[in-house]
Amino acid sequence: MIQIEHLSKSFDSPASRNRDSAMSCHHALQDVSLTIDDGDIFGIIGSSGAGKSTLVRCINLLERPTSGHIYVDGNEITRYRGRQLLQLRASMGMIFQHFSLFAQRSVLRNVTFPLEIQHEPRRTCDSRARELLQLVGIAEKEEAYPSQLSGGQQQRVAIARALANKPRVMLCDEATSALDTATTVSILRLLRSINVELGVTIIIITHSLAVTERICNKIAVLDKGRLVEQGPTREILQNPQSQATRELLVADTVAAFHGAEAAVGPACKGAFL
Amino acid sequence: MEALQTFFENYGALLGRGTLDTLLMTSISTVFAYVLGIPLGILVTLTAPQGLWPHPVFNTVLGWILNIGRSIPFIILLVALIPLTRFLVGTALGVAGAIVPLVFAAAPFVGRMVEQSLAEVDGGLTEAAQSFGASIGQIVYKVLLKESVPSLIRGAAITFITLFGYSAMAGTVGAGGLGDIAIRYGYQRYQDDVMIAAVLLCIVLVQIVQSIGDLAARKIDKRNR
Ligand SMILES: Nc1ncnc2c1ncn2[C@@H]1O[C@H](COP(=O)(O)OP(=O)(O)OP(=O)(O)O)[C@@H](O)[C@H]1O
Ligand SMILES: [Mg+2]
Repeated sequence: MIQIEHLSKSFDSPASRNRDSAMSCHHALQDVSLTIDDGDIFGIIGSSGAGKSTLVRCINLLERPTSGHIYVDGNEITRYRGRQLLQLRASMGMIFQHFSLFAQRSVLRNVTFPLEIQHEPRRTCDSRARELLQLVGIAEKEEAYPSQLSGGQQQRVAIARALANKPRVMLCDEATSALDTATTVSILRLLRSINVELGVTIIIITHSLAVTERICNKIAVLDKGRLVEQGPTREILQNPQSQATRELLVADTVAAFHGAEAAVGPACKGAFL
Repeated sequence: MEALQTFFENYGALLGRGTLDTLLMTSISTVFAYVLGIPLGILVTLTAPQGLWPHPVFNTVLGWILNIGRSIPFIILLVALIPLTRFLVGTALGVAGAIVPLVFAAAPFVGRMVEQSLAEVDGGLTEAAQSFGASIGQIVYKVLLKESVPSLIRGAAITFITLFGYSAMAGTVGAGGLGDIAIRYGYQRYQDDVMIAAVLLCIVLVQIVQSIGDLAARKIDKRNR
């Protein structure tokens, strides 16, 4: 379980590097509190600049919160430093919008990377990596290099890499934003099966309500750094309370309408997963 | 034809020796310049404001040192370092005497080249490595250096060729080499044929080194396939 309590994060804005700085910093997150239960597929939505990435990056402390606390299974991780901090990060997997695979490493070596970091012996690394490549369905590509793969294949490798250390939590920052509709569907299926079969809690940032609608059991809506709404996906999408959520819904309907027309036909939207 | 043959009989050994001296001086100093320059490049990268180990004062001072090192004309460095050279290698003359100033001239240059190569590595990769709990050392070794190998190889070819040029001036301390031969025979004895032969050899060697560098970098780079 991940509990986030009164989390705030501000960045020094360029102007504040001059005098009277205290006032002129940028609040990326303000007093955000939420709870993510084990086994959730938790969606974080909000318009661009709302603070979604900042929130998720605080969970593995890639970003240090300005104030507030985060507890993972009751331990206050926001206190962690040094070794403990590195171990915390290793216990969470992360995938990225642009995949962030190591270009000079083969697919297999990308997946063994997190294991190498933990000083696992070569043979353990290789056999675990092969298992994972099997799981994500690209075992035959282990010798290939990232530049030889399609976007969908690259994201599969990234998912395998994120699973290498057997994390209990996986953080996904716009993992499907760079992919087409069909590939998005297949990646979302993969994430769901990882959630169901391996019991990994998944936290997923997205612009697209279609994504949350199909795989998230809960969502939180951020607007200008504030949490404006959270709860079960269905409730929020059917009965949005905040202006921000309603705007996202409208934007998404328009996008889905155009997307459906252009690519898959209206019937497909409902048959997403 | 006969003229060419007598030319080689007369000067072949001299030019051969010169080529060897030049290659020796340049290769050894390139290696040592990297031994110093890689840590310098890594330090200046890590301690930068947006780096993994920000340290503004250290970074600024190191930046100054690198800039000053690169702004001193080589010929002045050559003379100024004579006492240090004597201390380090026992003599300030010959090939050995030239290597010390060559290394000191090149190290700050290499530091900047390495910094440049590391800066080309996508920040997303560093972040991915961090998200898996990699330490700074592991990020440097397994991500920054590993991912920039093709760029580092290209830099090494440039460094080698730059030192190749500097080594021509090392004749001042009697280090010999092709550059020295070209200057002595061309300017001091007006033997244009020897000068032209030496310069041609320089051109060929530089071309070969650059081609090997490009080829190796391309072969090793796993992008763009
Ligand atoms: N390192 C940083 N320095 C300064 N400001 C930052 C930094 N990172 C984020 N911000 C600011 O914080 C705010 C929230 O950024 P964040 O990246 O979390 O938004 P987001 O919701 O993920 O947006 P997007 O959907 O575009 O990815 C933005 O206004 C951004 O400019
Ligand atoms: Mg973002």
